[in-house]
Amino acid sequence: MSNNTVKELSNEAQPHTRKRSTINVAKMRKSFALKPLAVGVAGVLLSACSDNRQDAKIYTSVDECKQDFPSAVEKCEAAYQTATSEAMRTSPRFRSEYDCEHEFGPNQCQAVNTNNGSFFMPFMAGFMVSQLLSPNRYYSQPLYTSYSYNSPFRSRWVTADGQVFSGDIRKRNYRVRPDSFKPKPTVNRTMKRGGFGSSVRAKSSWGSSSRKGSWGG
Amino acid sequence: MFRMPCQPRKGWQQLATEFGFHFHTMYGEPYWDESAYYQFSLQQIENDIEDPSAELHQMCLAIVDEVVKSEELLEKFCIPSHHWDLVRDSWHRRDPSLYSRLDLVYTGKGPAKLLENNADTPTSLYESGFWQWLWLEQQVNAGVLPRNSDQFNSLQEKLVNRFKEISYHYGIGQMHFACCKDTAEDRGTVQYLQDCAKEAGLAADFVFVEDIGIADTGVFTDLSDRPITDCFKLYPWEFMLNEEFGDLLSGANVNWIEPSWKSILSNKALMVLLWARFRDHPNLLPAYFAGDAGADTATGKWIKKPIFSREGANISLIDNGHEATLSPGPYGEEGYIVQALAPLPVFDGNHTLIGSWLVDDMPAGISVREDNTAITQDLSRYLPHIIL
Repeated sequence: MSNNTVKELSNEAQPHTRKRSTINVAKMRKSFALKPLAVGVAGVLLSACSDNRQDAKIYTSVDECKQDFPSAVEKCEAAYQTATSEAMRTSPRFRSEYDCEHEFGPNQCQAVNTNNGSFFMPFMAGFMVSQLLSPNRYYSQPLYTSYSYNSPFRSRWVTADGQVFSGDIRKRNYRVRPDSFKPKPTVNRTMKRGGFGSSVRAKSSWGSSSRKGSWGG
Repeated sequence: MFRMPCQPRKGWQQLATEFGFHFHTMYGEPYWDESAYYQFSLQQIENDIEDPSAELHQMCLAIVDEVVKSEELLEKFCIPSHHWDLVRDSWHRRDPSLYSRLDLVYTGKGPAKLLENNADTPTSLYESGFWQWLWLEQQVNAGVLPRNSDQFNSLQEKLVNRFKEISYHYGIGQMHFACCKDTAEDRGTVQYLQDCAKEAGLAADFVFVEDIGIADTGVFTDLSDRPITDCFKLYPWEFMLNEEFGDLLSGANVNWIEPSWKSILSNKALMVLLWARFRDHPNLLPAYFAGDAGADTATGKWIKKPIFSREGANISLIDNGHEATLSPGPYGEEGYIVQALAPLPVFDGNHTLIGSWLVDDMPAGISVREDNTAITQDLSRYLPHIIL
């Protein structure tokens, strides 16, 4: 089969002539080392095609927003406030300053003390606003960026849950899906781990102990 | 349907390392075996496997719809009663499913027979969706296989599309992926699904099932204390429902993939209900709950298997009323079913089982596994296939 055939899209008009996927082989290579899983916030472009995307703009200060919307300065203030309180609620949290700076860079993290304990989180580097002038509601969410050479977020905009925007931080205008602004649930701290997986331990005690088989089927 | 000996690609093990296929050899035995392949005709694929798979899937969904409406059946299916609402709600919302694998006895002639439906946690996905595809591309390019060789395999394309639909359905840009520790096979399967999800534009984070935490706010968390809101889990629902965190499932409000209504499909009791509702369907084998009046196991050959079991464990053969254990295992406390024996076809001394993949409700490809014995277990070998 020639390379051309591999790249050919499956032909809807002749569904019975081809039963195979088209696959970009290069993308399937795994020669790179995986990052440690605990820190690994998978990076991905937010550019997936979608029909209901809306214009959004990233600001690094309230003033930038006000310059764009001189007639709606109070809305810029409100959008900024929304983003900062959202950042307190959902930002990535780290047990140590070292872990946080490993991901976001030197001096990019702050210590936070709450009733539930203390942790480190990155400073909000910008906020993304959409439909600011809409009479119904506007969208606003905090964004982060990294100055760490170790991080896939370096010089990129990234959301609290690890979605990385295409282009570097100089890019400020995007078209995003409304769900990019969907709020994440709050986590103050994890009370307990290990509440799933006990059946595996029980079933594993059967049979030759050297075998660690699949729990799929 | 033939079994054709074939020259393995030179250095394919090195290639496997490059592509992250780390479980081609398991327990010191070959798992991926390209010293032969299976050849099907297009008619065999389309008429005997593809179309029946789509139909069987619809029949299975009809059973789910019936089971969630009946407390008696939910009990028969061993769904814990305090989780009935969880399962019912998931079905009534039509929570989207990703994939499943129907295990079929197919000899190349006559109707394929459904052995069971791996609807919750099917593995051997990577080798089906990508690795056997790559084998075909390379063997055709090398001139080892005819240029017009095809393969029933649109898995990867359909998985990527399905992830796009799911991200749209739930309005998400990020998902977690989870499996158990210490199994390269499961981790490989999940990594492959993460790759497909990324291709669909999703951020795909990973957490081990054992590391999932519960937060003060009632949501599940990963090791970075980030909330798990949408999660693919390669972990059986019948385990999850019965474990410590099982009671927190309804409060944690996770969109699980597979959704909890799949607990009905991956259950061997399904085979009994299918036979009861679609009796004499050409793709079904007679099946009953063990000990039921209809189960006339005094004559003929029957396979007895646990309502919940994996990788061919705890199987016995009932031959004219005499029961003999074929495989040991840790399952069976929830009861058994009996299913009429349909022997796997034997090719060059190998017992051959067809796995027919569906992505959501669309047939998407097949896998072929061989075993030296009549029961396909976790030491079976995976062989590629072609259509010619």
